[in-house]
Amino acid sequence: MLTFGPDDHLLPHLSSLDNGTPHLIMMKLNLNIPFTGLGLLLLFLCTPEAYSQTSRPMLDTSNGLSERITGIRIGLWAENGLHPGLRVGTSYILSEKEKNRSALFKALRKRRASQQKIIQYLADGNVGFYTHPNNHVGAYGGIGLTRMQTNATKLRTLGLSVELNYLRRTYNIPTLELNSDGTISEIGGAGTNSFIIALAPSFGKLFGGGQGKREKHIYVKPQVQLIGYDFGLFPNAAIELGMSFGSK
Amino acid sequence: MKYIGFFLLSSFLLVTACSRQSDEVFDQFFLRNGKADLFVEINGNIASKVFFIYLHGGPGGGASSYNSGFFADEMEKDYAMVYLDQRGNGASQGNNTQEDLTIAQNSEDIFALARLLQARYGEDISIFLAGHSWGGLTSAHALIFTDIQDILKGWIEMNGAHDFVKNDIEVIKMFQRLGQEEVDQDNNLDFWEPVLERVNEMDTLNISGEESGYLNDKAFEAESLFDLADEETGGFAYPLYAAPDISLATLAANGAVNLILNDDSEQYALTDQLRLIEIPSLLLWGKYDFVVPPAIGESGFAQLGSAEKELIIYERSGHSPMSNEAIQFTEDVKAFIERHK
Repeated sequence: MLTFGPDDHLLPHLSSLDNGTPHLIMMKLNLNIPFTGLGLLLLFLCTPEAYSQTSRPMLDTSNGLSERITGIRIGLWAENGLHPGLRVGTSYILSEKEKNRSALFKALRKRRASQQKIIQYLADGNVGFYTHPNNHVGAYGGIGLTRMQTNATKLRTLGLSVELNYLRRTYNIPTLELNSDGTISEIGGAGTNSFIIALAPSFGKLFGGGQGKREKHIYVKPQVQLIGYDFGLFPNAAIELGMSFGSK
Repeated sequence: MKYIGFFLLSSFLLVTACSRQSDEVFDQFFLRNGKADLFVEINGNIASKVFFIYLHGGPGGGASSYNSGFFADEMEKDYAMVYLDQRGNGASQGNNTQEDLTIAQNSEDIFALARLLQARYGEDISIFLAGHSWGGLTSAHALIFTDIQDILKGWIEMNGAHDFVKNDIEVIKMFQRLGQEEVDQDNNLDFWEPVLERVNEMDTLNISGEESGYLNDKAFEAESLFDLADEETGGFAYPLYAAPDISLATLAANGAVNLILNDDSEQYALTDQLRLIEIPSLLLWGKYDFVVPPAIGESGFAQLGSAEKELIIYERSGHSPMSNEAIQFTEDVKAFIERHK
């Protein structure tokens, strides 16, 4: 990478962009840290469980649509962790099963109580927006597929989602065009469109519920994305801090 | 319900808390030219009717890197500073393909911006074009290959890389000359000895891309070994969340465009064509610039077709004299503008 740009001290917060090597390092971090993290997560999710277990389907296929749709999710959304927004969504339970796991050995069984886990496969629908000041407002909507594992004993959730969203970026500063006669036109609602492919682990905690109350679920969901931008597909990121209501 | 209210309120506060640049932004827009939406910001004294189009380095840089500090602040007091993110760079975006990312198309953008400034602020404004580093190449290309000279009052090249081929050769010569002097004086031998060994092996008639990258990398390191002035006051143009060019996708795209536009830039060895530039020109260089050596400025100065031209070498500066010797640099640029506006 050849770079002809300013010295480090000229641009304290962007120096890494213009002096070559640090920028490459940044690119590596973009690509490697999220994928390494996700790789470890996938490994964790796929590890054969060292417990004896029984499983049974929970979902009654005769249930109606309303039984299969989970409650509403609402989350604070931060594109790149910097540009604030909001996201709402809901899910449809494709399948659900319960696993009861107890330790293989008697000695361990005495010390460790059996754990109940619920594994769901969910079809998700999401819409949201965010604002990138001095650049654009992004509005998006899309679908996702989530494997959600709920530890009913510890009331914790662990999920992994694959999402496909369509994003509309509308510039939040004027867009001007020079006409052939030398006059200027302002283009209303100018912006760009792109697809976003995202991989998103989520980590959550259930609380509330019982006594006839609806259960609540608070979660954090970072995303690594592949996004269309200008002349190509590039990595991007976002994070969601959300809560779902009446979660199943 | 109270939770939904909490989230909505938090979101509203976060969204509305976003502010623009801390100092006043006078004008900010995207200029649509073809498939590109070019980010433009104009700060400073618009009433002066003097507009200074400032092209950044790179490729893959951005104008926000130049939109703060002593030089920018002082210039904005007297003139309107026009910060352009060149296509594929900084916050500029659009629906480009890689084929749209060329130096030739970039020159059309610069010309379009100059005409737009006239249409927006009046035909009687004075426009100067300036380029630092890679911006030296793009500004020179626009001057040579478009009709922009007809509407400009002057050109200011700051350590400009207007000749990529010649540049590599001059970098090698500079490493050999100053590097040997440093070795003779036992200065920073850990750096200079291996660098000298490597550059002495290079064939100046056939410099590979890898060697070019090595030279560029070591050039930034080399100038830091000299006792350069540092009059930069620093500062941030934007808080991080409000910076127009900060997102992972933008940074990744800027990284990718570096390769694309570097390849295209190598086609243009503009030294011999500088004779076609006839408007008043000011060339500013740091003596210890290993990235774009002063020899590039000297040969460019000799070729310039301008009747009024000046070359200033700053004795205690490297690749960014507007940062190293900011006070004198600013005075020199202002004096040039006052003479020719």
